[in-house]
Amino acid sequence: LRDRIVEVLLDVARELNGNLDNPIAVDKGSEAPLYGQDGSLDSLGLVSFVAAVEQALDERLELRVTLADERAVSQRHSPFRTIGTLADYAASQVV
Amino acid sequence: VLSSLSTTTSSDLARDVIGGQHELTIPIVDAKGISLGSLQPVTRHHLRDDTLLAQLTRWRNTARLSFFTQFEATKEGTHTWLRDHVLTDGGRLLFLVNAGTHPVGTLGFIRLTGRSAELDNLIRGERIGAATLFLHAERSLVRWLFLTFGLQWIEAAVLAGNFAALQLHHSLGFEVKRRAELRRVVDGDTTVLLPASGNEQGSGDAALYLTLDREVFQSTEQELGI
Repeated sequence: LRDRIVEVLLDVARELNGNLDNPIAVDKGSEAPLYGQDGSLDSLGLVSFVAAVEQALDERLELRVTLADERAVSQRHSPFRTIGTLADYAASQVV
Repeated sequence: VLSSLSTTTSSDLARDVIGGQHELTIPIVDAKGISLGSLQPVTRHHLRDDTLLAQLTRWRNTARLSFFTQFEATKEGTHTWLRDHVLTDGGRLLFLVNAGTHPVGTLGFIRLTGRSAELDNLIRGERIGAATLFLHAERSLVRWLFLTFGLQWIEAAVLAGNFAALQLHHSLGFEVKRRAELRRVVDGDTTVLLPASGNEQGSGDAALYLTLDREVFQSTEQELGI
């Protein structure tokens, strides 16, 4: 499941990259930074990205998860650091 | 690093900055030391800057649903707010966040005491500058507060639905300490979100109260290699 989520996240990143001054480094796969120290997204960009990811996971994998909520900030480390950490978090939210 | 610097125990500094007697600019640099911009305090001098007042008003309106008090701002109202509240309070400073030299938003603090302060007025008005500009702007302000005033912790209050601000704070080590259901009080054109008491019906909104302890911030900086 995690690999399929990574693929969806990378596809969303590719679509979003056309609008970004500093594109998400999708060639790095799971290690591609999203938000934080080396990230390509500012906080508003992260909101758009996560909303697009939630929609894509629903449409393509029929996974209905909420990623942008208070639970995400209860984690010791942000789940939004890289494609891989976000995929891990999304997988953990699947019941 | 944080414990090795001298501290200022009063809010005289804030008053001197507001009055223009003390020039202050806080550089915004990333973890590699690359300059991204600066934090420039709003002072009484800015009350005569019509362009800035218009810009601040536009930003306040764009971001109004992110705040606990929601209303349509006007340039005159922004002038009054600055003159009568922001620039008369020795326990607060409002900064312009500059990308290079271009103002793109605001960030400030309120309720400065000898031990703590609360972040306030976080608005990214323009999507200009580095993606990490506001992350490092907030980091730079937090660091300056800890160093200058010897604070033990810094607080922030955000609406639970304001994921952008929540994530920004969390990235610096802020932790949610408390959650409160809110009720909406409408007074004319102004809506105020207030904590709902035990028997009151909440509006579905909630406030999250976050805290960043000095030691946690220090370890966050070490993780970033700063």
